[in-house]
Amino acid sequence: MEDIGGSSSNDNNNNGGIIKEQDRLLPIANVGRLMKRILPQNAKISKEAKETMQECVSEFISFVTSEASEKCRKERRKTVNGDDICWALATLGFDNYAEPMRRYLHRYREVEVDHNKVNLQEKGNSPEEKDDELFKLSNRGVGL
Amino acid sequence: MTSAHDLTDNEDDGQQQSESQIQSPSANGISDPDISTQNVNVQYATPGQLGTGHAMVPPVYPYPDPYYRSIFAPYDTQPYPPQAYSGQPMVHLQLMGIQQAGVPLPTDAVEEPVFVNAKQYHGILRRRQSRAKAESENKVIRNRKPYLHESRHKHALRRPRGCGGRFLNSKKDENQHDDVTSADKSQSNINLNSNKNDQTSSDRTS
Repeated sequence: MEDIGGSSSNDNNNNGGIIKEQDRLLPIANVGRLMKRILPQNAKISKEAKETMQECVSEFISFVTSEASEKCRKERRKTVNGDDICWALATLGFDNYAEPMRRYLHRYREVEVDHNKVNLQEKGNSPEEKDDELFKLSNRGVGL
Repeated sequence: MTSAHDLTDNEDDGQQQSESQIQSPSANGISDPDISTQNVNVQYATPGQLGTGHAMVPPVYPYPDPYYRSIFAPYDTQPYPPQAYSGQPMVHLQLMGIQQAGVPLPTDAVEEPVFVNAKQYHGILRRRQSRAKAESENKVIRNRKPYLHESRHKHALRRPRGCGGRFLNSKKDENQHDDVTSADKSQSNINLNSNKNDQTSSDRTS
């Protein structure tokens, strides 16, 4: 929650008004990696396909986020949280995506609580374990 | 490490869009009520009349700001109840062959209106306005750079390559890429660097 606010203020300071390519689009390597997961082993992806998907997914994120942001504006709230994103998906007609996303959000919060406990005991290992468990959750999400 | 950094960037991108969206509604309030009244009529006209009204838009501007501001104005000045508003477009909706109701969406490129999901109509118009605003302020750089970091690019140029242009000491099979142009090579180098970072992080983990 607070991290998002902090990052937004930093982002305001860094950007001098120009939106760079790396700020407007997701990294092309990550997009290519996600596309590869659904394809057979020997399949290849052209750079044009990756760039097209880069534009599509970045616009989709902005589309859903603007819907969630509009809801927050009407309710006089400044922070867009996970529930707002799930609500926006349902409002825009992406019902098949909203339900798995709610389940993912629920499990994410469970993992968050567990890691707060682990973090109190051991401070060094928490980030790596968090990344691993989140990765497992994302894999399960794909299965859903 | 690399994945964490990317996640941070993604969150920043979301915040940017949220802030740009917050600025848009204030612009809607400045529109002229007369224009808004006319556009309300155009809004609920039949598709044929919509095409006629659409012809009035000058083709020079792909996304004229006053036009879209006037479209948004009636919803701000006259807040309809959700159900009552959803009832009105249902009267004018035409069922497609796939039994999917769509709202006619004004487009400059195509003469015929494009039908979209009614739930997404406002969102699409809002995003169009945000993109038009970003372009008018010359904030978006359209041309893509072949690489993001000069130092990484130079390092990739210095690496030895075998026949076919592949790096000699690469371990993964993910280095396969279709295009072999110079820009693609640079992009491939960036991918290789990210893969290299992944190897480093995995080594640290194990």
